[in-house]
Amino acid sequence: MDYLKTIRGRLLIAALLLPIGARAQWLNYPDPGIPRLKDGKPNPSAPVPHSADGKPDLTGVWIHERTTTAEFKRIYGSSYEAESKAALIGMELESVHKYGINIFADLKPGELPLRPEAEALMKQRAAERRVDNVCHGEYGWPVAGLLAEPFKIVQAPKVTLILYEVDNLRRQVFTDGRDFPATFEFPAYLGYSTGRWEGDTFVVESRGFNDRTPLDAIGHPRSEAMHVTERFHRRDFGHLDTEMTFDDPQLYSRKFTVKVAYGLVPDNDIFEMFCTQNEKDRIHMVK
Amino acid sequence: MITPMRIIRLVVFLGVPAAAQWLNLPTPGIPRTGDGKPDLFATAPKTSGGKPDFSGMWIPRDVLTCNSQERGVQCTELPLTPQVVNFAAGLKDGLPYQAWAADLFKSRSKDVAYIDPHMRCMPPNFPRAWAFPETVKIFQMPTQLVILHEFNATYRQIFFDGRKLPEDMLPTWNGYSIAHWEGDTLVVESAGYRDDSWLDTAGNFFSSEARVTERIRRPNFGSLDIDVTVDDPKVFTKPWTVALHMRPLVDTEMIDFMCQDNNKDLQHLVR
Repeated sequence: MDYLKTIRGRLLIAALLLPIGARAQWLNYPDPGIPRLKDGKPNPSAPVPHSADGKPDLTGVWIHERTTTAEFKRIYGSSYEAESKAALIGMELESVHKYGINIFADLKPGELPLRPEAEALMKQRAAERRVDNVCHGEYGWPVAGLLAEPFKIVQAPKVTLILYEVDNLRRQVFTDGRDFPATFEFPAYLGYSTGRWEGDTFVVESRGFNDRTPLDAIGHPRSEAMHVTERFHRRDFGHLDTEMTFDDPQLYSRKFTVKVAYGLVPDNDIFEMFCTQNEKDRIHMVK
Repeated sequence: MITPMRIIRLVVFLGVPAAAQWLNLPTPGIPRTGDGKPDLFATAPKTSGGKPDFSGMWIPRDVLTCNSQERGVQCTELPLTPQVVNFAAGLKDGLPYQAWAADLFKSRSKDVAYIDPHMRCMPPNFPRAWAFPETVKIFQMPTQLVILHEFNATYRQIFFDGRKLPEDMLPTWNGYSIAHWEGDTLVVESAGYRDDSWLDTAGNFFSSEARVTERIRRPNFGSLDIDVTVDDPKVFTKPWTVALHMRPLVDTEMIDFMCQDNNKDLQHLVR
């Protein structure tokens, strides 16, 4: 697909953002709360832990299951080889989830639900894109959970925190029963979120996003009207199944859903990672 | 020397709307006086484990007076603290720099606003970030604190699950933090900082050798007191301590502030 070439700059930036913090300081810090096998290794098949209120406890560090090389080859065809050759060690295409690159990775061009407004916005932003400001306006949510860095869930009473290693961004998901305001005076990069339990599934509704960061690396846009429903289900101790349903009628002709599986990163934690920190890439970038 | 022009730049940079989306949502479960206002002198809440609970939103208690000589023309906009402009405010003789460090500090004075990492949207590094005018929100979990900061919608973690500080630390803006309880005081010990992080807009600093101790207390519902001690033999002649004071914010909520969002200040800054 030729469009891979047109987004190479974006992918390059994605790769440059990726590998900073994951290998790190409290690496291999044994967590006493993790069930283990006889050989001492964490047991990912152990039962789901529960919080004091009896709900499944989603607390932990999570990283998406890698998109396979075969899947990337299926999506990108002959372009894959060139892309993978250009990648540096540790920055392989597979370190990013396919939906982090293209939220519509599973669809054929004729199946895309983009309204003309969305296509126009993508073209306009690609033309206006500033290579001298690589750390701004590219990566927010949901991309932060789909790059090479893990995120951490902290399930506190009345709020569930989602802490991303990417730019150390974070979300508060309020579980105190509050409703959304009628209007959002300050649309936000990470939106406003409330959560509830449907059986063993944690359902998060998010609204109040601004329209300034894209849904993926190739720049599918979002509008302030976007409403997202996420469903988190901890399958067992070591696995978290999620799905995200996007409803943005201003830019897309129908709702669309992606499913992403995450694996627990045991005996580890998220670390500090800021794109703006010591950023030396921009002077070498060309359009 | 804090000139009015510098303060104007500072205020422009820090000029964040303090309002929030869930602005008027009443905070449940807090002590209130007869007129419905928060009872700041009520007993500090406790966790189920019997320790003081620091959870909640906090903002610096002490602010500079609205004096144009001190704060510039936009003095009504933001609650700027003395520590924002001088982390050593309250220390009679300033910070006990070694000679080389004093020279470096002085050398920054002529273009301090231009070279301050914060002006370039670098992360809200603690302990400096305690003094920023944006809100912090503390979540006290059984084995850790998570501190959210409005600036860049970011966070800091403090662990008290028994772990020790790592031996080999990749330098970071916030360092690595562990804590233990001494009575009702949470003693936070941090290390592993970067060499280029600042403590205030004047250019005060410490180094990657710094060991920082924050002694956090909540003497009543309305007070969070933090004594910050910095021990950095590379930069200072002796350890020093400053006292910071926070007040609670209730019946409101945080709102994301992204520094790089439409940041047009940088191109106008002059040396």
